[in-house]
Amino acid sequence: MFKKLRNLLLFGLIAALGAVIVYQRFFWSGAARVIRTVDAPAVLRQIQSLQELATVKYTIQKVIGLEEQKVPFGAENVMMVVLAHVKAGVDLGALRPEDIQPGADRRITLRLPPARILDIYLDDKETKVYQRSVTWWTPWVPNNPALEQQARQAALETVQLAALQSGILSNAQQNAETALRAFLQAAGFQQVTVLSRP
Amino acid sequence: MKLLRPVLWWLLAAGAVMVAALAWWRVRQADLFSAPLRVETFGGTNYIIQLTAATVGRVQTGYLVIVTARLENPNPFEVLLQRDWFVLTDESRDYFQPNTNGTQTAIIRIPPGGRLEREMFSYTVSGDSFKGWLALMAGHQRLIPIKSRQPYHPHLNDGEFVTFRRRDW
Repeated sequence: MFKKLRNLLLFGLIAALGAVIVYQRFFWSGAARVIRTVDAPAVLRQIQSLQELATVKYTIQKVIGLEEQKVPFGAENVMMVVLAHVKAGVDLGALRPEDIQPGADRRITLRLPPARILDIYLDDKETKVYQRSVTWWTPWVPNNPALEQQARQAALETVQLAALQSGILSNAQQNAETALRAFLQAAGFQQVTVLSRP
Repeated sequence: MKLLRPVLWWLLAAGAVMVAALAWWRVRQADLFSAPLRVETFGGTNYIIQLTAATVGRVQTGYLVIVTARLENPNPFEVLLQRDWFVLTDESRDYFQPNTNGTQTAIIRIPPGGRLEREMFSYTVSGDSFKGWLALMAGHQRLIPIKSRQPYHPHLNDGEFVTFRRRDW
């Protein structure tokens, strides 16, 4: 009786194992099927966490001369050689939920905000005052301690314009599109379309 | 020689008077330039603006005008000003928006009862804008002159700037 029950159990086990093997072989398509659903707000949060994405940096050298007309007479001059760095990129914190449109089959469309200049700063090691003078016939004119600061501000404005004229924004936009496409592909998206928001 | 001496004295005195008159005129123009003005935003909030300098510079594509101003908030609450409100206009009624692409933020915040000592507004203009007056539009329908009607020919090279603290240029 005990022997019969054991044989029955053994047969049952073998039958169950065979059924599992047959199911795996013919009805189960390989690895565990993971259904990926794209959660647009989650993608938005992930991209927004990148914040300001600087994608290009220009280094510009300029000679800046600033003359301050004094009241009532005279003038004070300063001449500087400045080296400035300009960083441009996109502000991903400005992405809106509607800028991310997930599609079927791991597709995603992303609309980027327009590129802008993120930072401009002077390299203090390479920025030098070459000349500073007051008109010789007005020696009583007091020096303006803020003149160098004004010249630096003027230099930043000039450098910014020079960078814009050199196409820093289009360069930054292209680089941002490339970087984000690579980022999203690495995150598992197969077809990534990156557009620029007007 | 004895006859020439009084003539010389008179000439010197006349020259001194002319220099003094010119100095007085320029000081007056400087006072007018930097007079504090109470203006209103489009929403009706008061604030005070005082021009401190106007800088003209040459860049590759034209001229750069940088207006430096002191902004004061007499209110017990924070005042937010949009940089776009500070439009530069010339005699031929061309309007120039301030550059907001770089270090200058689009929104200017003045804390309650506080002041911003050196707020800068920069504009890219053409050389034609210096043929007549230039004025800064601040607040609601307020024009603050920064340059006289007389034509100004800036003989500047690329990267050269000149700063004025008076109107008569």
